[in-house]
Amino acid sequence: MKLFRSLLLLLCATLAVPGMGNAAELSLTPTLCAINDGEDHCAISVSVNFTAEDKSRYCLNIADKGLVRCFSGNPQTQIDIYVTADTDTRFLVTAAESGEEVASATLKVARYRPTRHQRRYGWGLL
Amino acid sequence: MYRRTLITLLLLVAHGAAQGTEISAPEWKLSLVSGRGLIENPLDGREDGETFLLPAFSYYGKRFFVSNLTAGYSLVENKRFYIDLIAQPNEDGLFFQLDKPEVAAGSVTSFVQLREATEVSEIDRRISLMAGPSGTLVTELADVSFSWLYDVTGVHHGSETHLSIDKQYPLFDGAIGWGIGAVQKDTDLVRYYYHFTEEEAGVFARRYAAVYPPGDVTDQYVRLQFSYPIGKGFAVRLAGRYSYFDLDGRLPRFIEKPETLSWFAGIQYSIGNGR
Repeated sequence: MKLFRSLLLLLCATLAVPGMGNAAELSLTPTLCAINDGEDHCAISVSVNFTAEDKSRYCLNIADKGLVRCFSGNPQTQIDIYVTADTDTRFLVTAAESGEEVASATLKVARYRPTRHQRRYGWGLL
Repeated sequence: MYRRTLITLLLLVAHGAAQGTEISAPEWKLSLVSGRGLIENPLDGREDGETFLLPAFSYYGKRFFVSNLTAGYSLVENKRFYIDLIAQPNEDGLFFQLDKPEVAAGSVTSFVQLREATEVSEIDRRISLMAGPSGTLVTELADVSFSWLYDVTGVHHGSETHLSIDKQYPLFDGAIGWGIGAVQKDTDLVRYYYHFTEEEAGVFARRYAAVYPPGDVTDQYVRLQFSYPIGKGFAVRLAGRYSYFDLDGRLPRFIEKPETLSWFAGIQYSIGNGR
C-alpha cells in the first residue's frame, strides 16, 4: 500500500510538466488583418492579452521580428501593438529567464483577390 | 500537315472554362481538350482544318490578362462593365495559313506573261496583329461588347470593328452559352486579304477591281457552347460556330464557302489555381 502510494505520487510528479501547473494563455484582438487592393501589406493595432497564474517575468515576441516587451505575469496583461504584416504573423510569449515558449497566437493575414470577368475575345470556338 | 494542325489549334482555341464567368485574380488555367474538331476554311482551294487535340490557356492578373491568343490590359473593371486594351491576331490571316501554298505566286511573273489570273490557293498572305480598345457592358440579359482594332504590324494598315452579344446560363450541372456577333473589316484589310495584287494577277488585277471593287465587309457569326463537369478537372465540351462571310467588297473568287460551320466535341482536362 505504502509502495503503491509512493508510485502514485511519483506518477503525479512526472505528470506535473512545466506549464501545466501555471497554464498561460495568449489571445489577440483582432485575429485577422486584411490587405487592401493595391497594397502589399496590412497595418493594424492589435490588442495582445496574456493571462498567467504566477507573477514570473515573461517576454512578448513576434516571430521573425523579435522582442516586443518583457513584463511581469500579473493575472492579466494587456499590450497594444501596431503591426504591419504581409503574411500570417505569430505572436509568442516566452519565460524571461529560460526563453521557453509558454503560449502563442497567430494574426492571420488575408489578401484581397479582386473578382474579374472572364473574357470572350478572339475567334474562340469553345 | 503539321502546320495545318497547328493553325487549326490556333483557330479553335478555347475561351476558358464555361464554369462561371467570374475569376478571382490572380488566376491561371491550362486546359487540354481531347476529341474531334473541324474548322471549315472559307477560302477557295484551301483545305479545312481538323484536329483531335485543343489546348487553352488563360491568366488573369490584377489588370493584365491573357486569354489564348488575346492579350490585354484592363483600364476599368467593375461589376457592370469593363474597358480593355487588347491585341490579337486577325482571323483572315489565320485562314490563309491554314493551308499554305508550297511556292508563293508572283515569283515568275516578271518572266512569264500571265495567261490567266493566279489561283487563290497559290497565293500567300501574312498574319497581322490587331490591337485597340474594347468595352463590354455586363447585364442580366446579356453581355454586349464593342471593339475597334487596328493593324499594328503594318501588314495592311486596316481595321476591324467588332460587336457581339453573349450570354451563359447554368444547365443541369454544367453551363450553356450562346453568342452572336458581327465584324466589320475595312477596305484596306479587305484589299490585302481578298484581292489580287498586280504581281499576282497582272492585268487581271485591274479588271477584277473594276468589276468587284474592294470595300468594307461585315462578317457575322453565331456560336453555341456547352460544358458539363464529370469529375476532378474533367468536363465534357461541345461547341459550334456558324460564320457568314460577306462577299460584297471581296473578290468573290477568294471565297469558296461564304457560309461555314466549325465545331469541336471532346473531354477537357484543366489545371490551375482557380476555385
